[in-house]
Amino acid sequence: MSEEIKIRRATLEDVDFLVDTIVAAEKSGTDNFGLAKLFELSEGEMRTYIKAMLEEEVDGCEFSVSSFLVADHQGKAVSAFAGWVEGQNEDGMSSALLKSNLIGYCLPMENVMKSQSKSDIVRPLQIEREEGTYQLEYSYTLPEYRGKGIMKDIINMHIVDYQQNTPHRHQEGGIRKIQVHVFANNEAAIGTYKRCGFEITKEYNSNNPLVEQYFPYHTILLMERIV
Amino acid sequence: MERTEIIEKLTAVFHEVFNDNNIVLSDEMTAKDVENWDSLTHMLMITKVEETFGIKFKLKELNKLKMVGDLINTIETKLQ
Repeated sequence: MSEEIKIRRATLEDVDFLVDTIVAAEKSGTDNFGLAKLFELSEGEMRTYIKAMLEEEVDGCEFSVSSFLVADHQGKAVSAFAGWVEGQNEDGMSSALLKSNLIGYCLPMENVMKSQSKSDIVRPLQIEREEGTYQLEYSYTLPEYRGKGIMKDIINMHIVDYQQNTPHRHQEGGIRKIQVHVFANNEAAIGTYKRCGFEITKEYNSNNPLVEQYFPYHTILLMERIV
Repeated sequence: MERTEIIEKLTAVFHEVFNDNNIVLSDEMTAKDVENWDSLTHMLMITKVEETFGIKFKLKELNKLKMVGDLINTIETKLQ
């Protein structure tokens, strides 16, 4: 990796890049921005709400600025990846409920209500995260910075963060587990995670043809690494 | 509004959102105890609660609602 690139914790100044990261990761290489469709919003509107959610500075989920590590080149974020210890935030809430609360709080009520008719469609791919594990979510690297090993360096820094911030588990001899969910057609990401020591441990699938209106693919893989 | 009336209205919201008319609310009940209580239905439930009771939760309040009893208490406080 270039010596000029440094990995650091994201700040509110990175929020526009984090919005780009979330949108790109949600699309996972497709043009399908399911999160916006779920609430019947345009991409521009959903971007505005994602920014508002990030600016609430809630810790402990994938919409938390504090969860993101970014690769910085000449003062500019060029790559980002969020990570957090599941359920170990200030209020001990699951990341799924923190995320729900943020979306429900920031989006107009009528748009939240519009998602009701789709809840059965998206349910098979709404995956419950394991408490106490380190969760990775929403990765993105600007195209011109790919192939430089940046993502591997960010993942390794997340692992160090996990090891340093969960000493009680270490002292008890507990297993530390890092988990990442990836769409099964995203071969580039799967390859990166395998090179970082992750293995596929579970598959979540939906046979409902409507699911691909709201997700880039019908199958999600759970990949894990023990540290 | 009396606590019993709050529970009655809240029960109706739960029956609708989680699509189960047999749900009986208890103070200790959490998302783990109710089938289909996932991130999307949680958001819908909160939104319907706000609509039903004519209240708006602060984000800090939402992030402290761990059990149904917390939700009932918060609604009660906001209606006072």
